[in-house]
Amino acid sequence: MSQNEPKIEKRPFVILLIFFLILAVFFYFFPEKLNSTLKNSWDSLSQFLLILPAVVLLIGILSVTITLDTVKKNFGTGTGFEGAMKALFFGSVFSVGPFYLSFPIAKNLLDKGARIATVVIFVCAWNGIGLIAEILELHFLGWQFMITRFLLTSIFIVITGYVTESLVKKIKM
Amino acid sequence: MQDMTFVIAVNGIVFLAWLILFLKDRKKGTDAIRIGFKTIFSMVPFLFIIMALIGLFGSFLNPDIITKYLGAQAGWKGFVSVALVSSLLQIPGIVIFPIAEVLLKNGATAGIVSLFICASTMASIFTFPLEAKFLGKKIPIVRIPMILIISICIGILTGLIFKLL
Repeated sequence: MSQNEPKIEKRPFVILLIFFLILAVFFYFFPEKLNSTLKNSWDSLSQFLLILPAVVLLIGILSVTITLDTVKKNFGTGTGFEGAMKALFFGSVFSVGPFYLSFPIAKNLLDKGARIATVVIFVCAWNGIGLIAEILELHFLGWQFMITRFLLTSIFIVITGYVTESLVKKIKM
Repeated sequence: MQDMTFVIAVNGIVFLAWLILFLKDRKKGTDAIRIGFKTIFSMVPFLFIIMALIGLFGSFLNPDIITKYLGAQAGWKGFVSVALVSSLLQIPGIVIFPIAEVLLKNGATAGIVSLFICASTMASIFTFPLEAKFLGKKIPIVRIPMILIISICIGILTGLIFKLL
């Protein structure tokens, strides 16, 4: 079993049901908006569906090939540029689950002796520049936007890592 | 942006990668498909809600409003308000891009959209308790405001780069 094996919870589906009930009431009062709303939603959803097979397979492939052990082994307690690059890379490719999975994994890396800077970079990369998310960004927003934001975000994530580390060491609580 | 070559290329490459994995290791190949579907299935409610909101958004807000508040004329006020709203949100990377596309299409600037994506994917004030539970209070106390600051920097720089392009 992979540590990325997701659990299907009932609650989100209940929320979805309630949401659709609210929508139904809403469109009872604004029936003239129904068609344009459906059209807009379908435009987005159909684009998403085009890329969905790749997303499903890639989530699966990454989940079974890159395990927490792989990350731990390669993460090391390395410092400097190499450590930062590794943290960016593993944060991005390991990002197949929801954001809240990144925290326990980060804790695990911290406990193992990774430095704060690299762990913060890992968490930020997981959420900000995940590999699968970047493919969707390329699909929806085009390569100019994706590359610009990807490069800027990577640079600033590394800065965030080191600034966070130095400030955390100064805070006394 | 209906670029079919990109769609076919990405799906093709990923499928090939899966095929290689499957041929090397049957179990891993089938596990991959199962985990992939389960992960996406667990996100279905969220995905539908976002798509419905995008639909509503498109039919109730007109481009004039978006241009006024998120376009070039919004200036620094646009940046600050988007930064504040985004810092409350935690939106998964997988679903943020359809939203971003609608904003861009309707007149928001690249800089503001870039800021919105960064600030709402990387941190949220509401996830502070969870982050603190695992990493201690000190890290999120510094990290969350840092994300807000770098998101504004990224937004401003994206805006400048897109002006030059």
